[in-house]
Amino acid sequence: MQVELDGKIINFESSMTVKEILKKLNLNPEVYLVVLDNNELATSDRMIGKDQKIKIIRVVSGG
Amino acid sequence: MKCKICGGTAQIELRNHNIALCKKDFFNFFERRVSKTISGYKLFNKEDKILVAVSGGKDSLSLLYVLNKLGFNCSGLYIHLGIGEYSEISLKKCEAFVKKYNLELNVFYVNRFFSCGICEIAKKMKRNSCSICGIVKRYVMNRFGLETGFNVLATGHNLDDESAQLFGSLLSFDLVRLEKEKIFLPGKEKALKKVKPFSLITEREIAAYCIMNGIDYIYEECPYSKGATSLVYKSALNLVEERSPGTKLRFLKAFIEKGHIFKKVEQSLEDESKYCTNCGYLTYRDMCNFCIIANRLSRKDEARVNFLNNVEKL
Repeated sequence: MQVELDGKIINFESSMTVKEILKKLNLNPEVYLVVLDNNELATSDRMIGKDQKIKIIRVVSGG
Repeated sequence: MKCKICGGTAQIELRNHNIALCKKDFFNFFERRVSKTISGYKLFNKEDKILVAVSGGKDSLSLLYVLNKLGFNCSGLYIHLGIGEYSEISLKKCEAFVKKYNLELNVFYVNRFFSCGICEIAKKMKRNSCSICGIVKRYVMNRFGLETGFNVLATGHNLDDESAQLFGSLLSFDLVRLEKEKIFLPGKEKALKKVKPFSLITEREIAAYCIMNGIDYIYEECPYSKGATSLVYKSALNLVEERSPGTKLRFLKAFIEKGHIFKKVEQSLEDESKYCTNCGYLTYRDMCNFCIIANRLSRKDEARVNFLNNVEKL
């Protein structure tokens, strides 16, 4: 699976749920959204196949 | 995960509301809550002319989008701060957005008014960029709105912004800042009514609303916001939120209900209000902060008479 995060690509070899991916990357689910390649959002239980591409978007802004 | 309303595939889970929703039901849920905030706190109505401050980011663009969708009379104001590529990209996002949805956008150019951007002004004034930026933005939004017939100024401040601000103010028990922590500040002579319709909505919900609607916003942050303390407060609150969903909402709502304990401070601030000797707008000194900057940069006369010459309508 190909994961895009902050303009970088991270590859995982097995299928995982969104929750597992965020945990593996040590990301707080309150701060990130996961977007599928058809532009739909994925909830935490959604299984992402090993051939899928996703984008993880940080939602915090401001300063 | 299934949508709690229709049973279809959910796209977003909102743990703070104990609900998961599909795209269509999320739009309804989101828009209903914005409407409820507007009517519940009497922010404005269909007769008001609302100026929406836009930056090209998710909060302000979705605010302009949703207010227009709900049938309010609103236009955008973008302040071009002259911060290199960041300002150019964010202006392009705003231009593309208003073109796509057939909305009105006004652009104020800081560079035209001061002959330099925010960073150079900050250097000349020997102050940090964020403080100068705040002074300029607050002044321009208020004055532009008043001089062009608006009676309400709406900003995209969200629940994360507001709870982080409240958290920071409470850490130092800053009474003046706590007094300003409100969903709206009433208008008065020479001051527009200021409202924050997204105060009870998280930025995660707003980002989701943008993405699902195909609103293209700027992901990059202002280069000067790196290391800002407010981001540390947001991060701390989101750690608590992860363990205890709904904390941010409860925190802000409790303060809104009990904030009257700061009434005394508000009264003393009211008493100190006076009008700038140069431009005539509100100040706590003889000359307002904007005119102090204008004076130092030899733009004092411009600040008095040619203010609107620096605005373009798209």
